[in-house]
This record gives sequence, C-alpha cells and structure tokens, in this order.
Amino acid sequence: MEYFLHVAVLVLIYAILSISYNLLMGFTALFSLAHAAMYGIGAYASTLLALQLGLNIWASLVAAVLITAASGAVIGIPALRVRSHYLVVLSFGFQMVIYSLMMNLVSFTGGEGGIIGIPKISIFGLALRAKWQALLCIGLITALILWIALRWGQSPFGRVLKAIRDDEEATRALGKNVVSAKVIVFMISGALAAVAGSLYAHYIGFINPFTFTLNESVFILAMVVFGGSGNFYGSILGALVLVAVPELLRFVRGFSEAIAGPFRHILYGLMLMAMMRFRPQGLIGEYKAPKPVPLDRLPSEHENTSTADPEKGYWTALPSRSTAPSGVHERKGAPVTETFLMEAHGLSKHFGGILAVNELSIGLRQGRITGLIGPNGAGKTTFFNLVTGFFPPDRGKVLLRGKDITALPPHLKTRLGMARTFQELRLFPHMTVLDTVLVARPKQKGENFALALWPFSPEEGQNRQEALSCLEFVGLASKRDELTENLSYAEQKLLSLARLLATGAELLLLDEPTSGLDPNSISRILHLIETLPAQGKTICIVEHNLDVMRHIADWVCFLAEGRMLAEGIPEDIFADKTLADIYFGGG
Amino acid sequence: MELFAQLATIGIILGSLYALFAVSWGVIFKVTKTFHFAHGIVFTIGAYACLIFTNYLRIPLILSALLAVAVSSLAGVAIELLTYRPLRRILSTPLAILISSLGTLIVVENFIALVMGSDIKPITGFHPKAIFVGPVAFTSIQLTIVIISLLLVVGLIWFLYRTRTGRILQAVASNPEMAEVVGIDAPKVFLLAFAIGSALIGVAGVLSLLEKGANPYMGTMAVLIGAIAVIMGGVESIPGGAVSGFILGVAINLSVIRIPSEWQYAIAFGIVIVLIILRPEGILAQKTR
Repeated sequence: MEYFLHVAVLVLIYAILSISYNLLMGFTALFSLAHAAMYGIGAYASTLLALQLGLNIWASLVAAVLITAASGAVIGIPALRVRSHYLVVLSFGFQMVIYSLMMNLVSFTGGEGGIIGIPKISIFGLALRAKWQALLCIGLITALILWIALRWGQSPFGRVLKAIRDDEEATRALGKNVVSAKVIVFMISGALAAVAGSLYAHYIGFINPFTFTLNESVFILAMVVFGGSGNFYGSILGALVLVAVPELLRFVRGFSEAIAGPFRHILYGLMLMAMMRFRPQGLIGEYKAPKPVPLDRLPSEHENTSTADPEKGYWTALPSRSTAPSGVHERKGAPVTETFLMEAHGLSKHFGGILAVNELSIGLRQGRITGLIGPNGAGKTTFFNLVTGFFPPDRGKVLLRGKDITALPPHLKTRLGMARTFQELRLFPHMTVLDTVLVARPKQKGENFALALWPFSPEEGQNRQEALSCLEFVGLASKRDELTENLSYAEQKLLSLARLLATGAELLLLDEPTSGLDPNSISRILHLIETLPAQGKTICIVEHNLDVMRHIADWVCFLAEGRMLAEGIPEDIFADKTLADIYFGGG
Repeated sequence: MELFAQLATIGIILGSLYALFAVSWGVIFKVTKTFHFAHGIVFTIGAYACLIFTNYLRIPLILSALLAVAVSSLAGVAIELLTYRPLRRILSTPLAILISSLGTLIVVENFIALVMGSDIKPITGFHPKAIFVGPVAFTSIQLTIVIISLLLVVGLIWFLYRTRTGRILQAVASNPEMAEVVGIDAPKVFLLAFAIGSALIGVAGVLSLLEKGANPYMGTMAVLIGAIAVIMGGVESIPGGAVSGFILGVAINLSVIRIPSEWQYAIAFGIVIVLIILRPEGILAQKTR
C-alpha cells in the first residue's frame, strides 16, 4: 500500500513537470532540453535554503520558484534573438552547465553524493510523516497548478502563445509583444518546474544530480508528446502512464534493471516516433472535433453570394465607377479629407547589392483606397515591410498622423493603428477560426499572465462579440469552430481579412488580397474591401490584377525598381502607354 | 610549455574529430533543414559495425572500416526514407521531425545496449604505436584521426563548392522549390546529403572506436557537439562549422591549463551560450545587413 501511495506521489510530481513543459512546447512550440535543469535548480535551491538558512520549507519553495523563474529568463532572453534550432543547442548547453554545477560545486551540492537529511514537508510545524498525508498535500498543490495552467491555456495569454507557435511574425504583425511573451513563458514554465523540484526534494529527503539529467528532460518531453501538446489533462495522463506503467513492470519476473532500463527507453523512443507519425497532437489533442452546427442555424451567407457571371468574368458584377468625375472619387459616407494618414519620405533599403527600395515617398490619404502597382521586384512588398517595421529602412522616415514612427518595432506600429496582411497569409493553422480572429483584438488585459488568472473578466465576452462580427462581415461565422488549416484557400483569404479588421487598425495594408482566387471569390473580397472606407478605414493595396485596381483604387502609385514612376487616378495611370509598356515588359 | 604542447596536441586530435562531426551534420542540416538528432546513432552504428566485423566476423580491420562506413551511409539513408520522408509527406512541423529524430536516437542506442551491453567495448588485436615528437606523445591512431578527419573536411568543402553535384546540393539548400523548377530532383538530393553526411560520421565513429572503444551512448555527445559547432559557425557556412568544431576541441583541452578538468565542459558550454547570444548569425559570419 505504501508503495502505491509513493508511486502516486511521483505521478503528481511528474504531472507538474509535464504541465509546465507543455506551456513551453505544446503551447509555444519552444523546444527545450533544459527542463530537468529547471527541475533541478528548484530542488537544489529549495534544499539549500532550508538547510543552510533554516528557512521554513514553504518559504524555501517560494524562493526556489523565484530563483528558477530568473534562470528561465537566462534561456528565454537569448532565445528571442535566435531561431528555433538554436534553442535546441542553447538549452542543451544550459542543461550541461547546470548538471556540471550540481556535480562539481561539491561544497554546496555535495557533488555526486548529493544532499541528505532534507527537511520533510510540514504544515504549521507538523511534519507530514505518513505517505497519505504527503500525497494529499502534494495532490492539492498539483490541483492548484492545474487550475492555474488551465486558466492560462484558455485566456488571451494562452491564445497569444499558440499564435506565436503557429506563426511568430504574424503574431507580431497583430500588435503582440512576442519578445516579452516568450521570456515570460520560459519564466513561468521554470517556476512551475521548481515547485515540482522543491516538492520532490522535501518529499524524498535526498537529492543528487542523477535525477536531473538530459534523459530526464527527454522523459518529460515524452509525457507531453504522449498525453497531448496544448492540453494539460493530456500532460497528467502522460505522467500517469509513463511513470506508473514502468513501475508495474517491476512486478514482471526475470526483468532485471540492466534489461529494464534500456527496454523502457526503447518504448519511450518508439512512442515518440509513433506519435509524431500517427497522432502528432497526442492522445488528447488540443481541440475536440467541432460540434456539427444544426442545419437550420446555418446561415446561407456563405455560398456564392456573388451574382457574377463566370463567362463574362468578375468585373461585370462590380458596380460601375465610371460615373465619378475626374479627380478623386467621391464616396458616400466616407469622411472625405485630403490629409495624409501615413506618409513615407525617402525610404531606401538595400539587400546585399540590390537596391530594393530607392528614395520612395508615398502618402496614403485618409479614407481612401491607394493602390500600389508595378512589375515584380518593384519593391511593393518591401515597402510594406519597411513601413510596418519588419525591416528597418536604411534611410527615410515613416509618419503616422504626422508622428515619426520609423524606429518603432512592428507590434507597436500595429497598436498605433496600422496593420497588414501577408501575401502568403500567415494564418494560425492549428487554431480555430474564431481564435485566429480573437487573438487579433487589441488591448486585451488577459494577455498579461497575472491578470489572465482572473476568471471573471468581462472583456473576453466583448472581444468574442467583436471577433464574431468580423467573421460575419467576411461570411465565415458558421466556420468559427473549424481549424484554420481545414479552410479552403478562398476562405483563408477571407479569414486573413477578418483577422486584420479585428485589430481595429485604421490603416490597413493589403498585400495581394485577391491573388490565386477564382473570379467569384475575387468579386466577393472586392465588395468587402470597398465598404471599408465607409467604416473609417484607410487602405493601401498591392495588387497585380489591373482590373481589380481599376475598380477599387481611388489613387494609384506605379512603382518600378524601387522608385515611384507615376501616381494619379486609375484612369490616367492606366491610359499611360509608357507605364503599360514597363508593366507588361513590352517595348 | 611541455604541458601546453601536449594539451594542444590532444586538442588538435579532438578538434579534428569535432570538425568532422560538424561538417557531416552541417551538410545534412543545410540541405534538408532537418535537425538530425539521429545523426548521433549513425555515428554509434559506424563504430559498432566496425567492432562486429573485426571482433566477431574476423574481417581485416581496413576492410571492416570500409564496410562500416558503407553501413553508416545506408543507415542514414534509411532514417531519411523511413522516418523523415513520411513525416514531410504529411507536412509535419519541424518540431515533430525533431522529436521523431530524437526518438530514433533513443530507440537504436538502447537497442544496441540491450544486445551488446552498455559497457565500453574496445576493438581486439589492435595496438596503436606510440609516437614521440620532442616532448609530445601521441599514438599512430591519433595521427590517423587528424589526417583522415582533416582530409575529409577539406574534401567535402571542395566537393560542395567546386563540383557540379556540390552546386546542386547548394541549390537545393538555398531554395528547394526553385531547384525543383529548374529540374533538380530535390528528394534525391536529400538522399545524397544523408548518404554523404552519414558516411562521414561513420568514419568518425570508426576512428573513435579505434581510439577509445565504443559504447551505446557515445552518439548523443557527437551529434550535439556537431550541432553546436555548426550553429556557432553560422548555419549557412560549412567551412564555418568546421572551424568552430576545431576551435571548440582545442579550446576545451587547452582550458585544462587554467581550470580543473571537471569544469571544462561547464565552461565550454557556458562560452557557447554566450557566443550564441552575442553572435547569433555565427562567429565567422559577416553581417549581411
């Protein structure tokens, strides 16, 4: 009986470890080989504080958690600057350094021999001597940690982590501070691992470095992979199966430790391979299959609202704009001003020896649709990257509402009201359609990991409403519980527009919103874009399709080789024979 | 001074081997973008194949070594075909491929431990000669390690930058889609990268066996050292990886002059962490932007 209680305690401690590792790997796709090091730092810190300073074990635990969180930042901060494969190497180095410290700082850690006589868990001076008491106490702490993790997972904070996992750049473009989110997830994941380490030390009463090896990091990884990444119940299941089953193998006769050790590892390894091949989401995946929507509730908005005749092409369905007088089109309901919402002055950018953008100055008029056209390599997308801060310009300035924002990082520019889409969409394939839009909502208090714990915030409901109305606007409300990767290409293009609108930004930069679409879908998207100025939006659109430009743009800028060759109303630009020759490469 | 010369010699031996770890891992990583953990097991397979051929099948050592290199090359190709290719086909994330690769490493190394035992196994009937040059002593096998490793490293770099096939590998490395457009069979080139990288790490496995014997878990350190060197050298640059690997080996040994040997790995990895933080584009890379 005692033995089973002991196994149960171990399962709980590993459950905490795999929950904390799930935050890193399952939610944020940060692959670290140093989780055992975090576990070890927690165990050693708590032990040393209790033994050397005579702290109460709970005070040691809290201090150990803080120390480990700070160590988490040591991996987290460099991880920001480097790409994912660097993190493997970086975290491995960290694991080796910590292990080496445990082995070699003999006067503190006791070296290989470890530390004995660690004070047992006690409450108000009453030591929990019986196994069942320890089990109960550790069980309560595990339950608390599970609750915290679940709150994080469901909160806007968890949503940002998943968005980073699916596409870091796109998350930045939505105005999220990816840098701080990554450091924080390393810190809180380390902090939770430290709780496990501290509990382990005070429960067993003895620690040595061999508990906190690279193999242990892999063991924790295996639990998360098996149970389910992005699902904390999965982590508990993973801990239960991977800790309890090998313990049961002890009762099989003729299974000496010399054979059982490698045998167990072969099973873990095979499990890792099989899961990746056949069930990469783990036993309990992140999302349940979406509930089927009852037929009577299915809106009809979705299919073929366009009246376009495919024979004649999409432009027949578009409202004629030829009645507009020369000069800039008047648009009903739009605040007609001729002030520039955004101005770029003299932007230049080199890539190696190529001058991608050369002294380019463009102004975007408030409430207008400005189109950028030009042959491939004209610098249109580079212009977007420069103004949104994805690349720093070599020279030049970007003004938004007259203020110089050139040096701001992308996420701050988005927060000031300038957001973009990407040619290659960069949606979040493993998030639901609704979450993809919801994550884009600005100023969510729940994105702060501490505020995320408060379960009764009214903002989540409001943001859901806003996100749903963005989905309704593009006609995807009925797909809200689908995974984004399951949408058709046309639907993904619409979703990319909905996500952009959800940012609430006033200036929208659209990079080829209609490319690769069939005529019906093009006409549908154009209808949507045309209504945006009436909602107070200013638009800049890059497009190869000249018919689209002719119908939608109020003002067209013609770029070639990184310079502006001409600008004017579409009629004038498209009537210019020289420009047409440049565009079509004729002579 | 004598101590310095001796430590530097051992450092050069280790550094040559590390350079071989780096280029063999680097050519696979650069071309296929796979974080190939299981490269470590190919190293171990090379060592054990040579051990079995020589100790149990009584095949002459040189022939055993050549066969072992062929076995390693095939093992690497098999890992690509059986593990990575099916995953790429179902559009797995890089993380999934990395985890699967780690799984492959764990399965095979423990399988070897089950069958062969987990103790260190030396090759029998092989006695390297001691060579003395002034105050410095080393063995004939250590000299062989340096010569063969450096020849292979230089040979690979020559192959990649100076031959037509090498340029095809580079083309796939920089843009697989574009390479396919101009008629290069990218999956075949992936196989070639695995075959070359695996043969090279197989040579390293055989050389390590001859120097220190084989144990089932020798591969983990080899692959991680290789990956560290490649990343320190800048992932785009195979010569950069070779130089970093070499420097890493020499530095770890020379550090013993000033610091106790049990600390050398902690300090080496500490320095690696700092370098990666300070120069994420690689220590030898020029800033391109």
